[in-house]
Amino acid sequence: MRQPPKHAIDPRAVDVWKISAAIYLGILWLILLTSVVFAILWDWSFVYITGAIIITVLLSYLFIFLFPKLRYRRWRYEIFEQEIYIQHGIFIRTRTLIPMIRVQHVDTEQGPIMKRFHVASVSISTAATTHIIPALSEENASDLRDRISQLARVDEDDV
Amino acid sequence: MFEERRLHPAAIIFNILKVIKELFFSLLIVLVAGNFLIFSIALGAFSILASVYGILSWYRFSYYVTDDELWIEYGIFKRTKRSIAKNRIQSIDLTESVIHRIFKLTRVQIETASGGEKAEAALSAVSLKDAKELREVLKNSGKAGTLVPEEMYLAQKEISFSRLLLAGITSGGLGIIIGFIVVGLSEFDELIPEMVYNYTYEWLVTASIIFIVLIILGVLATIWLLSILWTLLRYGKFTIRRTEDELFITRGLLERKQLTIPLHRIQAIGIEENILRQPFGYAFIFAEIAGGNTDGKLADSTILFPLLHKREIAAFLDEFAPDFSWQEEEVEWTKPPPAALPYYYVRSSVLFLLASIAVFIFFRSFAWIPIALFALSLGLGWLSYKDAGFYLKGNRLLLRYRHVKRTTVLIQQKRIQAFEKKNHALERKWSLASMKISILSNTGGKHYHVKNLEEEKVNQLGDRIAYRNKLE
Repeated sequence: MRQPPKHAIDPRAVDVWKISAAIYLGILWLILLTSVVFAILWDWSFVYITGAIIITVLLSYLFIFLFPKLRYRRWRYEIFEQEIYIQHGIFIRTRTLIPMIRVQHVDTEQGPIMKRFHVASVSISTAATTHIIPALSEENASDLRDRISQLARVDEDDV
Repeated sequence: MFEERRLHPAAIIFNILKVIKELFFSLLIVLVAGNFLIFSIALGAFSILASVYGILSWYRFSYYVTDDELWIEYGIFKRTKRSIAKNRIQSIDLTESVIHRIFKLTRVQIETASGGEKAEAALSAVSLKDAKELREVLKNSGKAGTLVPEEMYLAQKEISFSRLLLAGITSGGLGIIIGFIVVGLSEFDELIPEMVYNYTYEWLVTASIIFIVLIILGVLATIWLLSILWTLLRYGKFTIRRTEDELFITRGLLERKQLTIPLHRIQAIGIEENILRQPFGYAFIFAEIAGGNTDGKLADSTILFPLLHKREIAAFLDEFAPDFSWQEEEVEWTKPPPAALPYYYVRSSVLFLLASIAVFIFFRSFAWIPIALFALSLGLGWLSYKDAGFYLKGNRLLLRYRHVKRTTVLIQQKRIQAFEKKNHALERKWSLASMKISILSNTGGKHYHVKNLEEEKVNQLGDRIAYRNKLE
């Protein structure tokens, strides 16, 4: 497990993450703007509002601009005949080994934003855990799904 | 074969009890909201309906066994017919509550491989004779093998009364109580002098404080005795037997329970030593089982033996779960390096440190309590560091870690569902890594963590677990 997995995920993942983070933070900004309006109308103290604005700006920078790039750089995967090898995690780097014989089913999923960018995620389930590769190009995702389910189709003695 | 028959009429009682349990709260609401007359009418109507329901659902419930399947038909209006293939049956569990025992009945629960809390089929009241017959018929063509006569058991072990008592005395309850007493008594020490010397009726005050202390001690002693009693009732006459491929466990004084565990479904075996038992070398043994057996409660591991001495564990596993047998002396633990120690200290004590600071600022005179706890938690951190480790030999992986209790887990390598290595930037700087191993249990997944090991050692373990390396 010294070497990281070989393959990077699709670079469009960064855009997908940026947009979905922007949507969530947009909601936060709306709340913030409403409270600014209230603050002006009712003469609230601006100390808290300023604090809130600074925090929101910081969060926006982190979640929209910084984290997607870092997350993309960290995300890697590799499929072997006998197991699946995944690496992810911005702060805590996690490397996961999933024995192929333990894979129960593989799904591809695609939300509206992902559809727009022609990427899909692949989720791999064992009886005890689920692992999601967040963004691969559509063809890659369905190829991967089919390949894993092919490899996982072995006689199981139990479970 | 096993011709169509109904449950024992006592099942009517269980049906009615079930209705009462479900409608109890709505009745309570009527009692609170309405007046007495309405309540009486509601109660009358309710009793009649419950009885009618109880009788009808008993009358419309039947079961029988054909060559390959168990069939169950039930439902008053909506009829359901369920079949369970014999060779899919994982276990047949018998439970006898007090009511069952009066009528010489048993509840039969039939489990297949699928997990979840509910049994695939539950026969709420079957005479012991019928249950035995049913079990034989169901097992005859099942892969679980035929029922073995008494003398054919490969191994058998029953808990002695003194051991059981010891298990009760050292069960978790006592630890909490001792904590209470230590904190409580020392706090009274602080309070008494002030009060004694300030008040005129000093003897009275002292007396009343002693009285309060006595009451608290009484309550704690009662809790402790109850926890002992609970252990005695739950694990009384605990017996484990083994055939070629199954374990049978019977336990309970009032409510008798009989569990069947197919050996090949055991995913892991754990040894848990709480802080009271560990100094005396005692532990209890549990198993993680895939699907089926939940032993009543969900999220519960199945207990294989309530209390064993360290010296007995190897022999016990040899006899009852040979796939997991293991000798403590042979194990060479791979332990966390000294660089990991700070992480163990921080994890165990950070909460108490914060609490100490907060209490010190706001209630300075009580600060010694969180500070004492903080010191204790540092000790716990050190113990966790000393105890953590793993060991891989052949197909067997051993993990050991401590939160408060020390847990040792034995896993067969082929049972591992996923292996994870994690490290954050600081750990990477010191070449440390933590690991998480997932296995299957009756609730879905069970995850075991061993923290802050040498990264290189975790890498090696991952490589040894990886199947692809075995092919080369």
